[in-house]
Amino acid sequence: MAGSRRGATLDELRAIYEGRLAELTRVASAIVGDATSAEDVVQEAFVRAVRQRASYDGRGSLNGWVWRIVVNVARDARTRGPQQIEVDRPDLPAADEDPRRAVVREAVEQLPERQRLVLFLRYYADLDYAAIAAAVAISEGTVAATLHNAHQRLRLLLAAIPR
Amino acid sequence: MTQFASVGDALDVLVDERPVEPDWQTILRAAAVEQRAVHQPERRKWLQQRPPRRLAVVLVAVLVAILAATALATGLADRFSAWISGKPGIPAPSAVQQGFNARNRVSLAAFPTGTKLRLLLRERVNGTSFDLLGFRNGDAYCLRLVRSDRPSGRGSNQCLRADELRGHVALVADNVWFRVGNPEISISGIYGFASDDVRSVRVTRARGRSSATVTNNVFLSLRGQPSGSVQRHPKPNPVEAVAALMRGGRVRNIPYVISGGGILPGGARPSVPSYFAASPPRSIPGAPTKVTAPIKHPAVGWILRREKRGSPLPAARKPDLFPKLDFGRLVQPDPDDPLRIGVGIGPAHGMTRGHPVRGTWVCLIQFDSLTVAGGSSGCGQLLGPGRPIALGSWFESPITHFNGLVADGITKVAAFLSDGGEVPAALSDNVFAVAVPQASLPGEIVGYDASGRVAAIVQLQANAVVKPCPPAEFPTPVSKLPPPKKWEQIDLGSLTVRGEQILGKTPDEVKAILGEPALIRPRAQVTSGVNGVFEIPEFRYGGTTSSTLGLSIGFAKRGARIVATTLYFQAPSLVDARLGHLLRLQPTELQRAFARNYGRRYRLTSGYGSSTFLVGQLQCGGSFHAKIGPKAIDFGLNPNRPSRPYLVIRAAGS
Repeated sequence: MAGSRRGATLDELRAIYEGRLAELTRVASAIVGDATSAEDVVQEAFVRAVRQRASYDGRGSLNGWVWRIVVNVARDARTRGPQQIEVDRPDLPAADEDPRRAVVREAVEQLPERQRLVLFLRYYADLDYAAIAAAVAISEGTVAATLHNAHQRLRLLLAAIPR
Repeated sequence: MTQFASVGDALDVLVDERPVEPDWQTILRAAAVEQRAVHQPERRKWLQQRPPRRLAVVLVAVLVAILAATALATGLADRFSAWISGKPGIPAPSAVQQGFNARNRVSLAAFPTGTKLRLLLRERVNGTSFDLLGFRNGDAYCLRLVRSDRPSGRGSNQCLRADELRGHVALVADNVWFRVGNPEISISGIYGFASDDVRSVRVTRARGRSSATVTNNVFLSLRGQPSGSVQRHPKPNPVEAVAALMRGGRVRNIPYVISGGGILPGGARPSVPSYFAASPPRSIPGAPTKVTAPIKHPAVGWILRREKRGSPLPAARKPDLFPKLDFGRLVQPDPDDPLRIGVGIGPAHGMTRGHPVRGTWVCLIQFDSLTVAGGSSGCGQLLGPGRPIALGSWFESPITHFNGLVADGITKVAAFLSDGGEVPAALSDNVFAVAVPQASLPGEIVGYDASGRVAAIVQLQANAVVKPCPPAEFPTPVSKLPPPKKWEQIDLGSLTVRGEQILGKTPDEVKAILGEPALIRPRAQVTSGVNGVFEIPEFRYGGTTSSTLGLSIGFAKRGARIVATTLYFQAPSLVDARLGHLLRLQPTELQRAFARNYGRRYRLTSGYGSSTFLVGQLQCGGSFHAKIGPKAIDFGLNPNRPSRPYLVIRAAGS
């Protein structure tokens, strides 16, 4: 996908959307903390991607470019609240109401944001270091170090939080 | 094995794996429209999806009529008459049934195709409607609680066989937590089964009590409160006790384990400051105490031979779910419960107490009903001499599901419980599963050979028990204490140490004020891609170990700086400007003295020995929060070290 050409086509964006929707939604859900809002986030991100497709400059992978948009929209949504995202959705299934979620969320919330993002992209999207680096705009080396530290910290936090 | 075997395992519970339908056309439409109302589409959708009120009224009327008819037709002779009659409640509305079908189709632990749900209860909480659905699955009684407007959600699902229900007048099936709306409301509560003898179920929470009517032999109690934010969340209001109000007028306590804690004896909070302590070992009535027929070389032949029993394991979504797995299969131990257990073996990796683990690991992962992702998982040593049973990981809930792998030669498995109950486990292809009420623990899992001899015993841990907080012990009288050091002079009014603010100061600034600590202990590392790696220290003054230190200062990263966020004092010589030697007061006296002297600035958020600030924690501690500003003061003592009461000054949220 990398090259000197400019702009992404609708077909390319559609292929990413339909091929990776589950992973995109998982990561967005982890960032915003709400499964329903996550679907709106992904939709909003692709609306942006479609509108801005001409600005893709081909220097990194298109996948990475899309992931960056999704991550940014999700971060915005987390900051400003989920209902400000344009909503036009079908009847969708509910979030998981696992009571352990409170414990894990409490621990994850204590991680620095970058650690959270890297962790989510690794686990929920199964992205490799290069793709995570592109999505978060950091180097691959930083991805490795951040992931390592996120692991260590989360283990400690999970052990410390009463259940 | 731990409840979370890995980071991936823990993260798994954070996000629901649910089917998402791509809708590219909507994206194209939205991308082409520049201006669009933000809230209107959702509002319209919501109005369209809302079930007509008339239908709700009809449903309630039908439920009432069926309840009355059931009671008249079957009387109270059968304990679960609404279910035994075969048709409790009314058929689930078609949207609810279709939602279940959709979920079931994509689930890794699905019910049989064609399973028909019945609507037992519908309850509206803070504007959100919930459906409690029921159905039979073979010998099992199954309940499903789900949001009415999201019938294909995972919800909460619980199946119990008749022999797992036996002996109970009422049983809490699960505790649940839903998050709805914006601003977000947390709706939590319990649901469960009740026999015909039960008129209603009384649910006591940390704050308040409510009554849940029993309909169709089930009950549901939900309550909502604003979620708040991580930094400023309202006090949790967990269910603490459950009681059945019998038709004859009696009240029977239903043992209930507070989420993450223990059981309140008789369902009542203790009248004196108390804490949850580890339960001492005790014998299990009727349970075998000795292995009479040990298995010499425990092994599972079909796994070692790589036989393709059960069904294939679903592709591991996370690389660390089954690390370096050589072989794995999915087994359904109980044909009446969709729960599946994934079994895999592979070379061990990782570290235990600093030493590399070698040999072969067996990994077990539980796939709960209607999950589309993984469940609780764990890896441990393969069966071997003295280890004929490998217990899988589990998660404590009102009904705790235990699973595991047993060696060839074990043909029957049963759970023995402290309340005298004996529950046979489902067993298939060496994999067992059994559901037991958490409140009935401690217990034992016992494996028998074909001759009925005891081949293996595994202990199941007891719940915490309530103990009164011990009085603080002061071996050295105040008159013989050394004069307070620099860091032992505080003012709780201004939260200063010797007139200086410490909270918010960097490690270097703290050193400049209080001097060099006796020990600087690295506690954690924080990475920033821009600024490098930060080591977050802990400063210890007056001693280097947790039992001898006088002051421990905790730091955290705030923005780009590392600053002090907690001051933990346990120095006997600690003096406050108004209270004097405050750690030479009994904690209840300290609470009173603090309220008297600083009550204008602080409010008591949890009294000594009754804390519910942390869900399920009953501990020998108490807390005051500043009326203005995010500061808090905790006090109390460690029951195992009553000679060192403590006081903590912290930035709230730390």
